Parts: sequence; C-alpha cells; structure tokens
Amino acid sequence: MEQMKPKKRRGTVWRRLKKSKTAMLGLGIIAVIVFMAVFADLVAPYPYDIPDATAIFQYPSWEHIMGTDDFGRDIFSRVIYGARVSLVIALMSVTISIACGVTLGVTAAYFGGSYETVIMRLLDGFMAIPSLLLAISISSALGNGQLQTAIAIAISNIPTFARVSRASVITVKETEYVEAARSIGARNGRIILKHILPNALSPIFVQATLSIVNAILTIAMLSFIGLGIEPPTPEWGSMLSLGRAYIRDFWPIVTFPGVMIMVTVISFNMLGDGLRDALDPRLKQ
Amino acid sequence: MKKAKKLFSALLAISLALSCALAGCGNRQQSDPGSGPASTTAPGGNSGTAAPARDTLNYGMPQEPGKLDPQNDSLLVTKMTNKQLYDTLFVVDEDKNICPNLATEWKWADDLTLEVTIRDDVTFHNGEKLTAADVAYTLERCATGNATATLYASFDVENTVVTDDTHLTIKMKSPYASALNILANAISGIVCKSYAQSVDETTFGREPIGSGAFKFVEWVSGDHITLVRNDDYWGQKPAYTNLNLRIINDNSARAMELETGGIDLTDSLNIADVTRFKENPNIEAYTVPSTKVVYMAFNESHPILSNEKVRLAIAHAIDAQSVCKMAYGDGAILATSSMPSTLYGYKNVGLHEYDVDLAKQLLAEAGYADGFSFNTVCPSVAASIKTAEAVKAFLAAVNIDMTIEQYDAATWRGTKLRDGSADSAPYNLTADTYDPDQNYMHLYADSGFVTVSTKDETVNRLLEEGRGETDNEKRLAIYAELQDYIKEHAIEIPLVENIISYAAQPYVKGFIPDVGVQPDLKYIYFE
Repeated sequence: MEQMKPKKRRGTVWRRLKKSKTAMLGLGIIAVIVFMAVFADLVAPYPYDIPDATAIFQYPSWEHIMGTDDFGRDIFSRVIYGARVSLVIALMSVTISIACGVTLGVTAAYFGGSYETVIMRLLDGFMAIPSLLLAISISSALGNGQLQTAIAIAISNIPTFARVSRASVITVKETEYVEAARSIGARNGRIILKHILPNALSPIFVQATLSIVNAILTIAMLSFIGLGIEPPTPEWGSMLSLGRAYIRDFWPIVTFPGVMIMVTVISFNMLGDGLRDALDPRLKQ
Repeated sequence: MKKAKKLFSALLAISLALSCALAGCGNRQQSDPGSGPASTTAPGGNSGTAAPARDTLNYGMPQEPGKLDPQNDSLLVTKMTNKQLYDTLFVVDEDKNICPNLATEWKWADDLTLEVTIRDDVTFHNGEKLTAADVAYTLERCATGNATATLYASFDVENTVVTDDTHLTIKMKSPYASALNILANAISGIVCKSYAQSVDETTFGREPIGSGAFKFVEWVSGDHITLVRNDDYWGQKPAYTNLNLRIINDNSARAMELETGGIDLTDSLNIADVTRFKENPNIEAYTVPSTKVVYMAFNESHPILSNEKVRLAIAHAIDAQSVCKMAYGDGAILATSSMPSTLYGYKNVGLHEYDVDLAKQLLAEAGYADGFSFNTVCPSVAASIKTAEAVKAFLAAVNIDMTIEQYDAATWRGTKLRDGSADSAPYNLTADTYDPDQNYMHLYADSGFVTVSTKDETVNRLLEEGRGETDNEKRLAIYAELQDYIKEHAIEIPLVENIISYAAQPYVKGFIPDVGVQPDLKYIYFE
C-alpha cells in the first residue's frame, strides 16, 4: 500500500499538469534552457571568453545571431553559458535552502514545544530582514564565486522553506496513519521520513519552483551590483550591468540577456502555477 | 464571507491607490531642488522681469563627496566642490602655469624657504578676516590630513613662521619642486582656523566655511548640495546666484538628465553618450585629455611576479591597443609612457610590442612555460572590470590564469591594495597637481600601497631626485630616465590614457573644461 500510493499520486499529478497548456509551455522552455546549459560546449558556436577586437559591436547576423558585445564576443554563446551559471547557482541555492529549511521546519512541527518556539522565532527574526538585503550582506561577506553566491541566496530562503514545511507537517502529523505508525512503535526518524515527509512534499515542491525564480533574479541582481560572479564568466545580470552603458547605442548587448532572464523567470512561474494547481488537494476529485 | 472578501479587496485597492499618490507627492518634493534649469528663483535675486532669468546652475555630480573637508577627503567630487567653496594660495592656469590667487607675491629665499604675501581683503563666509595665521593652521592640517599627508611629507609645517596678518614663511624639510603645485590644489584650500577649532570634525565636513566664490547652503545626502554666490567675494563674482550640485551616480541617468534639462552641466559621461552629444546641436560636449594613465600594477612580494622576465612577458602578451578599444571605446587613447602626456616631464617611450611568441619565450626562460596563476583586484567600476577582463583574455593565450576579484572602491583602495593580498591591480592615479611626483606617488617603496609600490632602488632614487630637483633641465632629465627605466624593467605596464568628458546645455558659457575634473564654476554665465 505504502509503496503504491506515491506512485499513483505522481501519475495523477502529471496527468493534471499535462492538461495545463501554460505549465507545459513553461516546462518545454525550461527543458530547452536546461539542454542548452548542459550542452553549452556543443551548442555555443563560439567560446564565451575570447575577445576579438576586430568584431566589436556587431548587430545580429547569421554569423552571430545575437550580435557581438563590446569585447567582440558572441552574445548568443555568452547567453548560453550564462544559463549554465544561473541555473547551477539557482539549483544549488534551492537545494541548500530545502535541505536546511525543510529539516528545521519538519522537526519543529513534529517535536513542537520549546524547540519549535526557538526555531520558529529565530527564523521569524531572519524573515524580518529583507531577503535581498540579507543576500547582499552575506554575499559581500563571503566574496565572489558560484558557491558563495548560492549560499548567500540559500540562507535568505531558508525561513520560507521552514515555514512552508512546518505548516504542511502540522496538518499531516495529526492524521490517523501517522498515529498508527506511532502506535506500533515506529521511531521518530522513520515516521518523519516514511510517513510524514512524502505526504507533506507538495507545497515544498511548489515553493521550490518559485524559489528558483527568485534565485535567478537575485543572482542577476547581485551580479548587476558587482557581487556574485567573477568576470569574464558570463552571467545574465553582469552582462546587463556591464552592457548598460551602451543601452541607447547598441541594443543587443542588454536586450538578449534581459530577454533570457524574463523568459526563464516566466517559464518557471508558469510551471510553478501549473504544479500548484495540479497538487492542490482541493482540486482532487 | 463573500462580503468580507469584497470589503477586503476594496480596502486593499484604496490603500494601493493612496500609497501611489503619496509616493508621487514624495517624489515631487524630492525633485524640487533640481527641477528645471529656470525653476528655482534666487533668494533676493532678480525679480520684476517678465521672464525669470536663469540664475541657477545645476551641475550633475557623478558621486557624493564623503566630507567637504579639503584636507581629509581626496575624492575628485570633493575637490571639485571644495574648489567652489575654498580659496588656495595659488591656482594653475590652462597652460599649467602657477598664478597668484590668495598669495599676491612669493619668493624662494632658498631651496627650503618660501616667503609668501597674501591678500588683505579676504573674508571667510562667516565674516571673519582671512589672515596668515589661517594659512599656517591649514598647513598644519595638511601635514596630518588623510588626503594631504603624503603630498605634504616634505613640508616642515612646524617651522612655518607667521610674520604678520599678510606675511608668512613656509619651510621645507628638503627641496620640493612641486610645492607650489600642491599649494594650488584643492586639497590645500585655506580653512578658517577659529571655525575649525570651534566645531567637531563631522560638522566641519558637513557645513563647510571657506572664503571661495560660493557659500554653503545645504547638503541633502544622496540628492544634492546647494551653494549660493558669495557676494563679498574678493575676486570675480559669479554671474549667477545658485549653484546646485546634484548627485546622480549613474552615468546614463546623468546623460538623460542633461537631455531633459534637469541639469545644465556634467562630467564623466559614458563615451557613447558623449559621441552622441557631439552630433546633437542642442548639447555642447567637450573632451579633454586627462592627467591619468591606467596601468597594471604588480605586487613585488609575489614570488613569480617579482621576476622581471615574467613582467616583461606579461607586457608583451597584452595588446594594449585592443584593451583600449574593448574596455574604453573612444573614451581613452593608447598610453605611451607611465606618465600621462598632459604632464610636465612626460616622455614618449612607447609601449612594449604585442608579441605572443616573445612573451612565451620570456616565460620559458623564466621557468614558467606552463604558465601560472595570480589574482588581480579591481574596484566595482565598469572600466576597471573591463580592463581586467581584457587583460585576462590576453594572458590566457600565454597560459597565465589571472583571476579577477571585485570589491567596492573603498575596500579596494583602503584595504586590498595595502594589505598585500592583491597580486596585481588595474590602477590609475589622477595627477591633478599636474606634477610628475604626484603621478608616481604610490610607486614610492613606503607609499603604503603594497600592490602598487616598488622596492626597486633605481626607481626610488630617481623619484627622490625628481622630487628634490629645482633645476628645470635636470628635473626633466630625471623623469625621462625614470620613464625609460620603468618601461625597460616592466615595473608597471601602462595601458591607456583616459579622456575626460563634459557636456553642457548650449546656454552655458564661459566653461573651462578642467583636465583634473575640478572645473572652476565661477566663470560660467548664461546666454
């Protein structure tokens, strides 16, 4: 029974998700971006870091479909490599914040008492600091680099995951099957991992897709203000930042990275919305 | 339930609309001081005429000054502001000649003694008379000030003698050829002794009292500094009443403000905007060569970079012409020496030829054929980052991996260049005293800038000789030798010479573009 349930549920969710055209479009675009990011070495027609003084500021052509930047580098290739940076950091940061946030939230909800009070009040304190400001401070303290940026964004997202998972676990932990497991003497660890968590995952999953969106925007923002990624590694935000001096004279340099940020964020949002609808128990028949 | 929901949405909508409206009000209030060139009426100014005469100059400043204390803040925007507020003993004219200002006469009694006579008709903005005692007090501040101490190292301020209200004798510890240039710089603005002694440092820096052509009115952080004409000024009084220095950090935003009439005059624009302005008949754009060279500086305590062959290899591996084109566009010209071509003593020694094979050969001779890695530390300024990026790309071709670290400008200058953690840096120094000694100021072994300075004995000897030599011919020869030596041993690798840009509304007349980005705004009039 236990083994069957999640599998069956996954099937229904997928079926419901498939019905949503916007979610599928979002998923499709994300798949393309992920593919480009993973196989950037094969997809990108030019290296991202070799300047060419003879090919500066070229408008889009068959040779360079998005034109070239102020260093004569192919913008399309840089955008593709930039996807890799953005997605890797976004995934890293969401993974870190899920690992920490969910652990804290689930244990707080499960054990309750003063442990819960301390954890949740501490996280409330964290939430009082604007997440962007927190990310900026952590990032400037840790310095530049992909891991550092991921940690900076992750820390500011931990409270959100903790709250979402706590709320979800609180409802699940009172259910009969959890009580049943407890009454036959199952240990806390087993109850949490085998019985509670699988049934409390839906909101966390939706939150994760939305957090990826936030992470991508935060990375872009951090790079824009010079924290985050080390040049010449292309990152959409830093491409925007360094290109903005030419915004009125050479449009491709900021347009394409900007469009990429927009498309990625909208895609993740569409997928997230679709997922939420698909997972929402109120829509279950 | 439904009703409650409706009520809630209605409340939400109202609060949203209200907050938008309030935000709109706030904005209008904030933008008032700088709105429109003709919008501000002068206090007690021209009234009664049909059309309001232009009586305010709105200047777009690229940065906010730290404090308006001439001796304790070396930011260019601070110097620019202080130039309007304070007077100096001397001024430097367009041809870099020293001219009298507060000082009417001066004479070198010997190499170490400068006798100065100052004007008798100068008062500070608080009404007090400016005397030789104020000058002596200012020199004392200069000897210890953050912005001045290094440049005043040769001044023997303790032995400065005030003879009477208008005469004083300034002493030197050792002959100092650039003494008058330093005294003419905005960092040597004469402060009011009694005022400086009666208020704390913060007040002194926030509410400055000088003797210049403009008086301080108010400073709204992050927005503007307002000055008003000093009607008791001893020299040429400005033709307009208000000087509004608006702080607009973003270069593009400043350019747009100029186009929309929010400011009348600004400096340090993106070169793309300057190029466009040059074709725009409604805007006057100026470009002048600067007094700074951008170069790669190396930390001599780095085990590999201390090797002369390695530095020479780096010099040959970088195509400076391409760096110039990629990182600066038309905003700079190729450097031809470690000194800008605008300075006294400049010699065209040329750059090392771009030759990748020779670079590889030199690296092999030094034992680093397989390359090595080092870091470069740059401020979060687009031009510096792009310079580092371009250099990195060229070094990659000879297997050298240069990693780029970015810091905010204050950390970069205050910590990173001094604590030895930076192996190299794209560096530049604005020699706004127009003297070669200032251009090489941070090259001295004891400058404190570990990443920039050199312990090379020849360089330090030549620097000392150049600083102390008062004979023109000999001094020129010393700096010529120094420039040759720096190139030959790749002590630093010069890349480009910056160009300074200004842009103004067509009605702004009498503007003299200053190569040190510190224009004297009192000569401006409107037409």
